[in-house]
Amino acid sequence: MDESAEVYRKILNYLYLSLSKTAGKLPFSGRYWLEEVTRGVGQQVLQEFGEGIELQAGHPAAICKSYLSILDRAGILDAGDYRLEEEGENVFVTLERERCVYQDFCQGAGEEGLFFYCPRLGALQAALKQALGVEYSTSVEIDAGAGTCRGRIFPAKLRLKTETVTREGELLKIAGERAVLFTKEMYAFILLAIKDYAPHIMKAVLFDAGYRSSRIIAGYAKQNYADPLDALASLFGEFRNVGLGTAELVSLDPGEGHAVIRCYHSMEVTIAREYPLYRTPRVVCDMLRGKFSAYLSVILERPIICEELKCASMGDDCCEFHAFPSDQEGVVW
Amino acid sequence: MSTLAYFGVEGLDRIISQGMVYGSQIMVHGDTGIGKTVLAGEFIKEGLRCGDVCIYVACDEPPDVMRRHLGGFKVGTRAYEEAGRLVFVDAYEEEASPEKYHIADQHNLDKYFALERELVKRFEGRRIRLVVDSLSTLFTPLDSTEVMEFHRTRLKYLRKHGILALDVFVDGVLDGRVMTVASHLYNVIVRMKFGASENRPVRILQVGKVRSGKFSAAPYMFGISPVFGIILAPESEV
Repeated sequence: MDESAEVYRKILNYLYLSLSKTAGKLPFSGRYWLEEVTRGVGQQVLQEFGEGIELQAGHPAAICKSYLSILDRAGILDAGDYRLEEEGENVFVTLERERCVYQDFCQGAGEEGLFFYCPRLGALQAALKQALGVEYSTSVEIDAGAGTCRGRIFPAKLRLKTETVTREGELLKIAGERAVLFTKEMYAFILLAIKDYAPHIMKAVLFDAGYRSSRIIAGYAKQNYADPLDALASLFGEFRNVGLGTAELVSLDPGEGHAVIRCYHSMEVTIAREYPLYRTPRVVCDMLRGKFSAYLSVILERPIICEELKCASMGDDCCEFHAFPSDQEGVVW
Repeated sequence: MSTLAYFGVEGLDRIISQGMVYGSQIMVHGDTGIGKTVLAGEFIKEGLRCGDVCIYVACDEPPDVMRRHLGGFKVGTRAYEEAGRLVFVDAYEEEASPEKYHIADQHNLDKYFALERELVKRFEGRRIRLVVDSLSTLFTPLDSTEVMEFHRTRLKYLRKHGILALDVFVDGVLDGRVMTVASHLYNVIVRMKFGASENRPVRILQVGKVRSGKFSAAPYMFGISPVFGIILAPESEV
């Protein structure tokens, strides 16, 4: 590689590293946008250089091979460096790391704990979408000892709603639906108004709001993840995305319908500490209780109710929720 | 840790705005069907939310009735029972009770008191709410001297151990003299009764605080919602 090409290669890697750092700072959708950028570059290359190339529908590995040959002919890479294997719906791509133009980005992102999407795999992902009309996603495993990386391209799971926040004209949208951002003051004043006008409904309102609003997204998670642990992990990701706190599954027994969940930095605790909502110290996370109850009820396909047994508002280091089936104890929904 | 406690009924808690200290005794008495057990359920819910250990002694119905009652208000009792925060004592099924804690002979006050002390000892150092629903049932066949002697000893013990106790009495079960003497032993008295006309009865509640020398005779109307429990608006006196 001549000196100017090496400079451009470095700049390209700096650009991706910078994008990844910026994506990590976005309150919403950072991971989504980084993936969009890497895939978008691939689409652009395909449009520019792909004229006359036949992408064979139904054979993902062959489609990837055709795409690499486009780049080879354009002098961008050597297609012979890439080993392609197809297993079921997955395409595995193996490459020696020193032959990869994006190795600095890959290594830097790993060292700094940044979001990472392999630009090369993103381009293949775009080619597969164009040929098959199917959304794909990617992951990469590095074998540092062997000096190789092994990428996997696989049909994408549906994203949960809150991963994609966009602004369309004057409107803020989450997954295409009109959305609004509240400051904590706005939320707190709604609660204070409820407390002033109808204090007896406060707990029930919070629980029900959490429960009802979480059933739909829990349904999406269940559709996309057969394993309850994966489904809960995706929901906890959404929970963190929207700023409710950081949820952690301590234990889950699907057969017994029993779970223990912890939540750190609960938004409801912050509100209760700053606004005079209650006379005495108490567990305050009723909306979260409703959300966790809905998650577990949908995923385990039976009515589950969570109770908050520890709460950070009472001096504990986190909030802790214990869930049991409610069909055995007459809880009315 | 706060040493003040409330019933968990917003309107009622506004009436006793200064709260109750642990170690207080509350007498709730009233007509049959007026909502004494509903109030007891609210008191337990409040205790569970505040981190207390709640002990419910079921004398008039099996403990499962209170479990279902709390479930109706979306309280998952099993989580609290497994954590040792909610304890049911069966003083109703005298034989073959499925409960861990039960009383074989509900009119044997010595045995009852022994169990109560065992539970207090078990949770020593914790804030405890104790509800007996209804204490008048335990007293029914006993003579007034026996009742008063037991009652005085028991309340003294509970006060000494900082137990927040709520005893339910059904009006008309015990004779007037026993009720009058017994009521003097409580810090807070809640009277619940039906009022107005037969055609349009209303539920009425009065709070009295004998010990502090303040007795508010103001009657307040209240309602019972299947979703929200007891609803009382103290600004609308009868």
